Amino acid sequence: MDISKLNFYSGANYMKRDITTGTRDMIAASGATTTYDVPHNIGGDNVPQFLTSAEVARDKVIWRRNQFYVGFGDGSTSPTYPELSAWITTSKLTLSLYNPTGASVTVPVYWVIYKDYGTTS
Amino acid sequence: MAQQVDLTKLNMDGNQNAFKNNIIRTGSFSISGSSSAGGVDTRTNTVLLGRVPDLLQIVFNGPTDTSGLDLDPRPSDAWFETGAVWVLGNNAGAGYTDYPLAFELSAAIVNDTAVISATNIKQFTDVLTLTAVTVYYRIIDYSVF
Repeated sequence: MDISKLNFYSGANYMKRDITTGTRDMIAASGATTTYDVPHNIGGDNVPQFLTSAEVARDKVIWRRNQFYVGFGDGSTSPTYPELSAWITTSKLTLSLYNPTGASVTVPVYWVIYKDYGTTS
Repeated sequence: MAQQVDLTKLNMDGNQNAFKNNIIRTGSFSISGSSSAGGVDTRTNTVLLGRVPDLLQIVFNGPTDTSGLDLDPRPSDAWFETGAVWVLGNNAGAGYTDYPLAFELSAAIVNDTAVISATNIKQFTDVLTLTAVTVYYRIIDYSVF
């Protein structure tokens, strides 16, 4: 074992997933946007790092945040997939699912919020 | 009193693909002046990292769409990884008042430097005077081991 790797204390700025990490099925009607807030309560003026992803095609394939629309370019075809956006503040992560397709969709959405102990410059 | 150590946490060898945060770098830059006459308008800002990074994660903050057209659901105080900051442009003679321009944020790593780009694609040729906005960034520099 490389003992130089055993520098696992808070002064070494390790990352770990916050307990608010999770998953949810988001449901959006045709042409509608639905949002979901995840309060993280990490504290202070922290803006935590985060990752979001979704099975936008509902086919067990997970896309990182988004998938480009099919039919992009000539405007003659409608978008095939919903679009996931996400943003974070000092108090909560917001997931926003926009459904431009012709029918209601249920999309599994995943998020990770990191509690980190970094040094800021 | 003896300190208890959980030996199962000491599994930090090279096969485990762990990562740690070296440092968080924060800063800002301005989007101002005049828009392009049409096509792609890119504003860049370089950030010296002090080392060639293993992995970066970057989030941005800046004004959302304030034109009243509800073009972006993101609140202005929210940080994002993928998205845009919005800049209002004016050209009274051509009929543009507080016209919203989306500058999409992206970043690239060149050796020990992060190059942040804010890009707007404008599909008309009138030049607009931009109301200056400030774009903020947070860069987490990870070591992977």
